[in-house]
Amino acid sequence: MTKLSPFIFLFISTILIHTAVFGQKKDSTYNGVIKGIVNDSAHNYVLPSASVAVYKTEGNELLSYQLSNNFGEFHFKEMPVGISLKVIVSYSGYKNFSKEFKIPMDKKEIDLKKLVVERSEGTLEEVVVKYIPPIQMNGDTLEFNADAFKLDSNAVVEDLLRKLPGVTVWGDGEITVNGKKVNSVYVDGKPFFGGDTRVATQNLPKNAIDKIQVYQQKNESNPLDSTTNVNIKLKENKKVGYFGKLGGGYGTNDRYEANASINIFSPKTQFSIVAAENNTNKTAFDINTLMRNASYKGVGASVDYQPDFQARGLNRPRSGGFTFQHDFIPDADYYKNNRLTANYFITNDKKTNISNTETIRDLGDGNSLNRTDFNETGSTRTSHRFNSEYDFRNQNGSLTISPSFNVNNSRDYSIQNGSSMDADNKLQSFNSSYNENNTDSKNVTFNVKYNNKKTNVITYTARPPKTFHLDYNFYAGNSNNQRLNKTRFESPAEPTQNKLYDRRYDNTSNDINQNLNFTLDDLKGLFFKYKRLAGIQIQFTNYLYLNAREENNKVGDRDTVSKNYNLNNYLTNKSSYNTFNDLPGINFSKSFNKGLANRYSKSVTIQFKPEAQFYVQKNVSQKAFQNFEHSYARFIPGAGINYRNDQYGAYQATYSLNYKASADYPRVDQLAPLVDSSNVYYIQKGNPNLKPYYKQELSFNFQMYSSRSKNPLNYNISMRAGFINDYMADSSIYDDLGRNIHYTVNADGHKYLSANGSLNKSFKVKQNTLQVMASTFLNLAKNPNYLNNVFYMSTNFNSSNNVNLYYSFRDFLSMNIGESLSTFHSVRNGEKKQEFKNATITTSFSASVNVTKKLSLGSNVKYNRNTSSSSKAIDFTIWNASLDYRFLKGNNAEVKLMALDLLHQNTSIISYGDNYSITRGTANVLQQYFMVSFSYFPRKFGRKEK
Amino acid sequence: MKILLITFCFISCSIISIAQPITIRIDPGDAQGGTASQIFAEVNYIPLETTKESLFGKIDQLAVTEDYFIILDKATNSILIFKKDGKFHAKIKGSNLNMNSGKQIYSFNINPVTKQIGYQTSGSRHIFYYNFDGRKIDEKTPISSVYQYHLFPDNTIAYYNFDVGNRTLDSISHRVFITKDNKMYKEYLPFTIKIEKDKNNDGLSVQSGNIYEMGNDTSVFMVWPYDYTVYQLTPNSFTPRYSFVFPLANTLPEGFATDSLYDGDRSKSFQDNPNLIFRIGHTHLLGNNFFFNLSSIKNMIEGDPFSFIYNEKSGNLICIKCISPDSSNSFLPITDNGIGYDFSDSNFSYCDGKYVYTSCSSLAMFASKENTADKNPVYPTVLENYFKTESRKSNPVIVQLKPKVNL
Repeated sequence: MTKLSPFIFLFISTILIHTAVFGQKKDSTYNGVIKGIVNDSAHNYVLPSASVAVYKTEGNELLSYQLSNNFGEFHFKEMPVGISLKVIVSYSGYKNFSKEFKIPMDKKEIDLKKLVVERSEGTLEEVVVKYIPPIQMNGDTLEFNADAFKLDSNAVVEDLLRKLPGVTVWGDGEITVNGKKVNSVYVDGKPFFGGDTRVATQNLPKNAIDKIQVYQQKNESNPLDSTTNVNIKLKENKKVGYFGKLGGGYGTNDRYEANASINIFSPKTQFSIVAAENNTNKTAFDINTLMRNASYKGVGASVDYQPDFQARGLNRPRSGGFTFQHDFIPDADYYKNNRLTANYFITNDKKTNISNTETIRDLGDGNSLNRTDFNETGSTRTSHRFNSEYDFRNQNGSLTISPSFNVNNSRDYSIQNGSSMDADNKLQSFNSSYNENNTDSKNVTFNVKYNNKKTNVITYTARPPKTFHLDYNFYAGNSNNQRLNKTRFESPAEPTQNKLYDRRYDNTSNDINQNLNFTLDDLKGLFFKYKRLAGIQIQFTNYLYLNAREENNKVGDRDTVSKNYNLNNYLTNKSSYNTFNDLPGINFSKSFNKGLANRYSKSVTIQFKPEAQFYVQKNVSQKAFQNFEHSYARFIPGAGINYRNDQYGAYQATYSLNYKASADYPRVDQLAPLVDSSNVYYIQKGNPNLKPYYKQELSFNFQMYSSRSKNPLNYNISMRAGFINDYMADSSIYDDLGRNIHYTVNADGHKYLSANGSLNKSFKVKQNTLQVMASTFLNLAKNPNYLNNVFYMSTNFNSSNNVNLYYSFRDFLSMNIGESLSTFHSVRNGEKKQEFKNATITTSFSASVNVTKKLSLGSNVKYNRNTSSSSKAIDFTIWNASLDYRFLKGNNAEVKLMALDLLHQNTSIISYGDNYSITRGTANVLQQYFMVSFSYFPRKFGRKEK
Repeated sequence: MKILLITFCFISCSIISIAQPITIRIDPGDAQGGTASQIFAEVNYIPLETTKESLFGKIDQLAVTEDYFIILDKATNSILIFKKDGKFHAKIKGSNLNMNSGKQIYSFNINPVTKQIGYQTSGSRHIFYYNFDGRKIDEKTPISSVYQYHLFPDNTIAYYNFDVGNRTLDSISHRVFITKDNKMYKEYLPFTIKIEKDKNNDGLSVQSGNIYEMGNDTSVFMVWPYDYTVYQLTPNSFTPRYSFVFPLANTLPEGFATDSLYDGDRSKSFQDNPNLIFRIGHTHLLGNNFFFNLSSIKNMIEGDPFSFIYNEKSGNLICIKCISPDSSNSFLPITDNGIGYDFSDSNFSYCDGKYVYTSCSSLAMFASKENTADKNPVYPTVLENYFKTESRKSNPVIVQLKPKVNL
């Protein structure tokens, strides 16, 4: 049964230590001490964890609060002397106790001795002045009562959370309680508008909140572990409401943005509609991002949502949609649920992207090819996404059904001009292409999950569980693509090679994919009943994938004489491709536990999973050379060892080392493609002898959680290393004109090693919060490849490193300093060693200051530097500034002045490399503009008081 | 034969009902508290020596003899013997195989007269006998291995029986029986297999009863779920000693244990009313002071040990959780409730007729020391040394308590 979890115990002790002090500036009169004991004298005992709060009598201002310690004692420091104060004690099941006093000026200390509280049971209903303690324990749940905290009338939940001891709201929006990540934030026990934490914490006004509850949820698979959740309990009369945003802005260069959203909620139903349009690169990929960006935010200083100055090209995203959630039972929780959710998202994006690039390609033997390319693409894409989910859970199991559909439509064009030079920069060939592309696609997916896992609140008698999980996915999709490709290829060096293509494509494809996953948790119990078999757990799994694809491609070439498109008999084709992929496996696991009670607990779990893969692929085509049927049977075992070391009161470390083998099978376009020669510079040819590759990977994970209650440090490291036999490597053959033909060939020797790590630490000293977040990603790979029939081994190394410091002071100031470095380094071994390098470093600084309650100032500067082995460094700085003024009673209206890219330096850098080439260039990008925007936030929580 | 057996049962049942138990009429919600010095005449802390050989986890079972503390630690699968001053004396190592191997020592018994420890392991029918120096003396096979048992000094063995085996539903078994020289000697409290089987389907794992030491060689307490009577068992008699009466809100409905109306669904009653008390446990008697704890779903969820002292003379009820440490016990914990799990798992684990015993982990002891530094506690020399030389990772500390006579 549940015991007071050590985590909650720790949390309470933090609160005992942290005496949160409120109020305005403290002066030298704040040097008094108050102490006393909470006592039930009728029953002769002291009350631990009683809520004790000190107020100024005048104005009822909360000065500080604590929970009494194990001896019923409380002890407040830094209290004002010589003025009238009031202490209020409350404890569940007892009448509130209140006492007025002054701390004597001379002694600067007062001992209130025993504060006697009386039980409230059996007493007649009296005229009781309702008192709300700031903090209280309710069983295992720690509760903060919102009404006890006096904040600005426009404060939201996030502003309140920042006030609570042990709670950290991180710069990236994550919330931790004593260093442990808050898994979910619920509102009245339910996800709030899709579950995005910030939608709840940045919109719900503090005044609509009854309580913030912090509690632990045991982890089903690992009883030692638990997750921390926060529930925001709304006031009884605030369970119905709406909030939203209506905003628009206009600026120089015809820059504009507009957005509107409305969110309506009741105890059982939530509904929201949201829409946005801009030409300032504020692109949302889902409805949650739109909702998050339309949040009201409270009074705290925060670094605002910025347009994406990194994004290439100019975008005009237009998007909108709705979300819906309905609970059929009012008190859904972990054990029972009956909920329907649905959301619809439509986007219409217009994008123009212009880029100029230069590529240096080293062909070995002192030969090199240089290319310059100009690309212009324009696209208009519309997509509709509808997702829904019905979730039912009770003590006997759970069922989830989720249907969804997508309709996509895109119209785009591209213009590409490229030229290829030899080592002496003499033009060998050039091309110009024009492409038009219309694609209409739609698909339906359907997912059903079922398990019969019993979750009984009370203990159960031991019986071999026959728990199984079923997960079925169905996907049906259809795509129509019409394309026009006009390409001219000319070579001054070899005019005989000049070519002109005018080709039209009409391609249709249909896909049906099905996937069934089945897991039987206790195979042993089924066959061996109660036999122990040395404590080995046996689980059966089977993953089955069935994919079917039909293609019907019609291709025509324009006859220069008749001006008609004549059927291209080679590229016109009908085909069907089917794959059957079944992975049955048995997972043997055994755990060894070692522990000394109250000292440590260590556990090692060893897993071995022999798994087989049966893979059949069959292609039926009108082209005989494309007809094939291959079947493979592979043994793809997995194994792992997990180690967990829990040193009570100090730290919790988990290590895991896993091995997994897997195979990948060549696709039709690698085995026997229909070669389209209109793509003049890049011809992909087939290799019918291509074999599947076999990958073996070892991964390692390490996580460290500190159990210390004050300013904990958490970090994790993970690594991955592997090698692939029969790696599907690229073999390229370049001719003098710069054209290249590619084959996929099997080559051994591909190896990789990647690592990433992150570290978080926060410091909270009085009203200052400092957060440090650092992360790194490193990747080293050896890639075998052939270039002009010579085998090379390239070693590529890339890295990405970030350090961020967030600092905030009260509600007044928020700052962020960040540094990031990403690098790419490639070395090719051959007769002559070739080396490519490039790096991007950015330094950013942003700050936001609340000058007054209504006025805030924000600014951010980002310095970028890109260096490359092939050319000189590019430096640029983006500097943005904004002024934000809120007005009307509830701060419902906002005027904002924004100046973006003040230095007019923004540049989009294209920089990448591969085994034997490096590409660098620039693209068109959003640049300097000034904008004035106006927003109105309609908000109402609770019904009209009658 | 069956009729004869039932007749016999009726006779033994009627024998039981002759003795008048002491009625304990209490409202657990209204118990009193106090400080350590108000409640206890003595609170002694005995740190158990920590050496490489004697290091163990927690006290899963404790017995106290004239010279020794005898401790079962399931995590290291061993029985450890410490002298009364806490010095390590000897160790009986269970099988070296890990705890999942089925050779787990699950309980032991002491024969104070022959100075023997008898223990049983899961997966074995034998009782292994050792002396107090940790040397093996004997190995015997009792009538059955599935029962909880108690060895009396005269070599009779009392069993608590919850086995339903493969017997037919209408056959009769006995809750309690006593064997002498490995032969059936006495049987008490008949029950039909059907009732027990039905109860096993309740979904509540409360079928095990318990035997608790009374601090003398000749009698023990016996209790089991759904029964508010505490029985006293000697090799020759079986009598109800205490009968509890609780407020209506805490009381199980009439016939809850036997009425087929509740079969398979008893757990629902507890979900509907988590205040229902379904079990009395950890019964110990020291003079007039009767120690016990109660079980309800509510107190289990809240992590409240719901442990009390009832003074037979004054009728006063003291709540253990409500006793606060004071200078008389150097502000150290009386129990580790709230900071560790020793008390919630084992409660007062033994009574030797002079003291009751519980234990505190070193983690809890050191945490308490840190938290109470501002009270400037004065520690007895033993503890002074303990805090100086030991650490949070040392062996647990035995807490020896003697309540005042007139509570």
